[in-house]
Amino acid sequence: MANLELLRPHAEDQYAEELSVLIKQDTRPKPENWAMSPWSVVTYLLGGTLENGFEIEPKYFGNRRLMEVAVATLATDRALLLIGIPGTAKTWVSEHLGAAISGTSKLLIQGTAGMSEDSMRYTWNYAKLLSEGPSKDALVPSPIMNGMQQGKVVRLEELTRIPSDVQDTLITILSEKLLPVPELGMEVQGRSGFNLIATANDRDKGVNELSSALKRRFNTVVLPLPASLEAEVDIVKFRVDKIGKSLKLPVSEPPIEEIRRLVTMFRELREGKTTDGKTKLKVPGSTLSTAEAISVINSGQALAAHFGDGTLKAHDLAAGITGAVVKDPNQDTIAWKEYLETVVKERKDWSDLYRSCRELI
Amino acid sequence: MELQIFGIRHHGPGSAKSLKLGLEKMQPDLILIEGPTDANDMLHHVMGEGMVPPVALLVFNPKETHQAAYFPFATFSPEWQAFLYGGTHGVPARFMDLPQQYQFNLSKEDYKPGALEEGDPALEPIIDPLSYLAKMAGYEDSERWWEVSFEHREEGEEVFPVILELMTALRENAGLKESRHTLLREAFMRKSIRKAQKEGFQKIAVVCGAWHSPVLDPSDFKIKDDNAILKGLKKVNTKATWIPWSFKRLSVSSGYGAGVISPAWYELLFENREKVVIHWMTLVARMLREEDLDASSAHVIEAVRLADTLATIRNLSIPGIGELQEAVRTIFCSGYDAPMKLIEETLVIGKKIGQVANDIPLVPIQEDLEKYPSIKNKNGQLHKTYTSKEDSRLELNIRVDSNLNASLLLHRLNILDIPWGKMAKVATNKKGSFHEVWELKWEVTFPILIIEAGMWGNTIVQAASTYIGFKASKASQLHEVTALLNSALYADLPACIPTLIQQLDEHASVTNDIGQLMKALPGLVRILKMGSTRKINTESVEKVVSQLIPRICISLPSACISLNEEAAQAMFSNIVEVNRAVIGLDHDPYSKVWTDTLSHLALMEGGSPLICGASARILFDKGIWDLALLDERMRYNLSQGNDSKKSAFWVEGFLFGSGLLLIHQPRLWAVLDDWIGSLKEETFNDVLPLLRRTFSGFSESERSKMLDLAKREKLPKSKTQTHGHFDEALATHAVSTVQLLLGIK
Repeated sequence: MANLELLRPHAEDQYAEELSVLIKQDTRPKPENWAMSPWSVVTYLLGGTLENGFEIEPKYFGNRRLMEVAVATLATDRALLLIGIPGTAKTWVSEHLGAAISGTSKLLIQGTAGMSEDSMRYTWNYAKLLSEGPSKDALVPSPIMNGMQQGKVVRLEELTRIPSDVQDTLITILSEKLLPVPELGMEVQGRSGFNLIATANDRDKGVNELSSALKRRFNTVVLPLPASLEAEVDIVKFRVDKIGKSLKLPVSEPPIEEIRRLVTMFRELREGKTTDGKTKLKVPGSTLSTAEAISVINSGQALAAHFGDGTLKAHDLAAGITGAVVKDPNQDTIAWKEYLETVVKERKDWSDLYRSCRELI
Repeated sequence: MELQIFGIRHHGPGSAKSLKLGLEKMQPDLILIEGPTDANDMLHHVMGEGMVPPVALLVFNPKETHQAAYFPFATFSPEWQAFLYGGTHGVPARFMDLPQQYQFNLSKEDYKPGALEEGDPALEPIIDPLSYLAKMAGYEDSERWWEVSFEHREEGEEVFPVILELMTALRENAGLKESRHTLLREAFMRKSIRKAQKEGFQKIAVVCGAWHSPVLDPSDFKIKDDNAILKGLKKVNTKATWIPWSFKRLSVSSGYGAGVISPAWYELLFENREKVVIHWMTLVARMLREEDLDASSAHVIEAVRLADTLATIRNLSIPGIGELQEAVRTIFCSGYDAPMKLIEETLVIGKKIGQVANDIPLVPIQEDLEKYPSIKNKNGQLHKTYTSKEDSRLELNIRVDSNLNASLLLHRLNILDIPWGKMAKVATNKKGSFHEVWELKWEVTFPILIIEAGMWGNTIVQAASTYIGFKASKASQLHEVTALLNSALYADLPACIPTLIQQLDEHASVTNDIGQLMKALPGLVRILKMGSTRKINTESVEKVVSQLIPRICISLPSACISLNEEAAQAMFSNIVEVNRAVIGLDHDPYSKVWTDTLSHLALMEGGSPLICGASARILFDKGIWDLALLDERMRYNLSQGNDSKKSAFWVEGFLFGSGLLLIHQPRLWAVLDDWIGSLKEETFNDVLPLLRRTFSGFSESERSKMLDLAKREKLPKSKTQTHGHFDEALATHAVSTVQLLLGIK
């Protein structure tokens, strides 16, 4: 069992070499208790070649300035809130920020609607609590408490899903860097290096808006969808190649043309018009983010590998595309059918895609 | 004899500050500035009362008005600081560059960089040397690189020798061949410097764009060579004057190439360098508070910290406008861009508008404007509102000469994109085409726009005529040309009409888009009708109309088949407009061919039901269809065999505008009633929204009458008047008027 490889290693393990080289060659000033300087963090995220010729792989594709703002925020010991629709690399960025700044991305809380204050602060080992009474030993610290004690970056996923009253627990933690434990008459004070990166999704329904008091404690960075078709194709290609390797799919690289077609479709449906701007389209309710494009290509590759000849073809993608577009069977089906009939059908080289998709609805 | 060259960046606040220090240290007895010598006469106005930057020097050729050059200056422009230094220290400051008198005569070729000879050392020519340097330093844009390298630093005058060295190295090694224009200017500047030296000045300060700084020392060049370069230039007459300028215009184009990205920030930077970041952030917070957005002092503190940290990450000594805006977006705006527009408008670009002294001569087009009787005369319609900040409303009867004058002026200014007056819709009780109502709103930017319009001509009429011709040549759609033609007629610009008609004719004959043709017609008909009130020769318009109507009628039926709802709606409103236009023309042959087409549409199978219904209605209104035929067609279209949605569209088209027909024609009411009665519940639910849309367009009283009709179980037998609420005393007033109208009395 122990020999089996991990499905998905932590960022700090997967990129351990990059991190150690960056730390070694780093000459610039570091904020206290940071593993590396802000410049190196930015380089780690966006990739580049170091002075000694070492290649750093890009983790985030997009606006450099946004990443600089994010890193600068953490350097001023303000908490960072990453906002964006699903699939804009919020979690991805926060994981790598944690790995680069604190050397760990493991201090993680997943926000849910049923979350209680305890999971933000601390809970008890009840067996010990009953037998020994309240003591430090019986205390089970939350990742936030751990991060405060160790001076590390803590990640909080889906902040807006957490009920408002629970969210507000964060106010004292963020403004006074303080977590009291009244049962033991003690408190935990944050050490330098402690900070919080939260992510939130702004397209979801039924989320809990942040109170303005809490909002003020965060610096907000909105992660956008890729600006151009070319950029998006590059991202999909890069990620698909990566995931393909870690999943060991026995296929050749996905043809760039397939990726381009898929990304074009997603962009057009998202923006409600064709790339040439001539045709207006109905916009389906699904998000159709870059991340979804990546997973469609991936499942297509798996199909091609196991049931096809190993090369990704239109019919391997069709099911994935339909599933990604049609989330609401009523509204989205209409939008999807209209798109197929008015746009896909008319495009000269797209007839294979049209036929494969048409078969499925 | 001392000569010091100050290589500056135009509109660079850092340059301005360093230059000020440099001049104070050098104490020159003459300052020579890069700028055309034919504007020298205007420079004494800088110190005059009432000059508030941003202002611009305008040098123009009074005969060829499109030959005009603008030289804007703000307080943070180094040139302006040089003027001020001269003025306050009693040191003469004057321009030294090639006069516009010569520059206006140069051809396009003269502005192209020279070709490289074979075997030149540079491997590839560097088009823009500054951005080349910036790229080497890792900056995407050269302005920013300059700012970071020279302007943000605290060094004062020591920066100039560094710039000189850098530029010298660059000009030597870049392998760039200057354009003839640049070479001429540089030779002339050297000539000016030599002249000043001959005049006996001992300490000359030369202020020029950094790029020119290495080549301006005249001792490095031979007089003979310079004279040879400058030989054979042709001269035109020019005039120069000061005009007000605005930060907004400065941000679009600064006169020296690209615009200044952030004038308001530059001004702040120039005035208060030490606390500029805090100052700017506080202004942001105060502005956002005024807009009811959350912005506390704590926000300001965090934003300043973030901007500073960002600057450190990017190796800047102080944050630039980019860092500031990013900090504002992150801290104040929760990461979103929407409120940033507001900030950009007032705190990045700025709303400042300059002023010039009263004794400065006006440019010809301004003079022409102020000669209009409606502005000049004390009792002129526009006299009071001219340059006034208050909004007002003006009613004009254009049969009165003084009123017509105001109307024409407003129309002409609108053509020149100076929207002083907006024409409001005239109430129907006023006598149509003789009456105009204007909403007047004078904007502080208008004087600048008027001066700029001067490039199209020396008078308002001339400028508007030329400009409208220019706009027409750029128009890509037929209806744009029609709109232009329309406004030319309103503005009484007969000179441009032939050109516009020709453009119109060309567009009309090539367009295949029937929608365009249909949209053009109403405008043309309006022109024909107006031609008679305004005494304009409209023969050529008539010719176009006579071709347009048959073309519309030929292609209309095929254009009404298989339209989706949206397209049908668009076509429907086109048909209504064309119908109105044809009625307006009141010309039998046109009416005939139009009604024939409508009959075709009304009876056409497979046509859009909306249009089919509308055609039927028009034909009935015109008396071409009688009630029997209409009754038959209505039954046909509303019969069970049809898709009920299609029937509903037919009803919508048929009842457009008014439902009175239903009230007055019980037979039609019955048909509709039967149809609705026959609908199944499901289909009824389907067509209900459509019907609701149709009926909601009717007036209140129409609807209540219909409700009465529907409430009655049987059809109304006759129009019997109920006497319940009849007030005879009230009625007698009306009766006498009615008698008068009918000529009974």
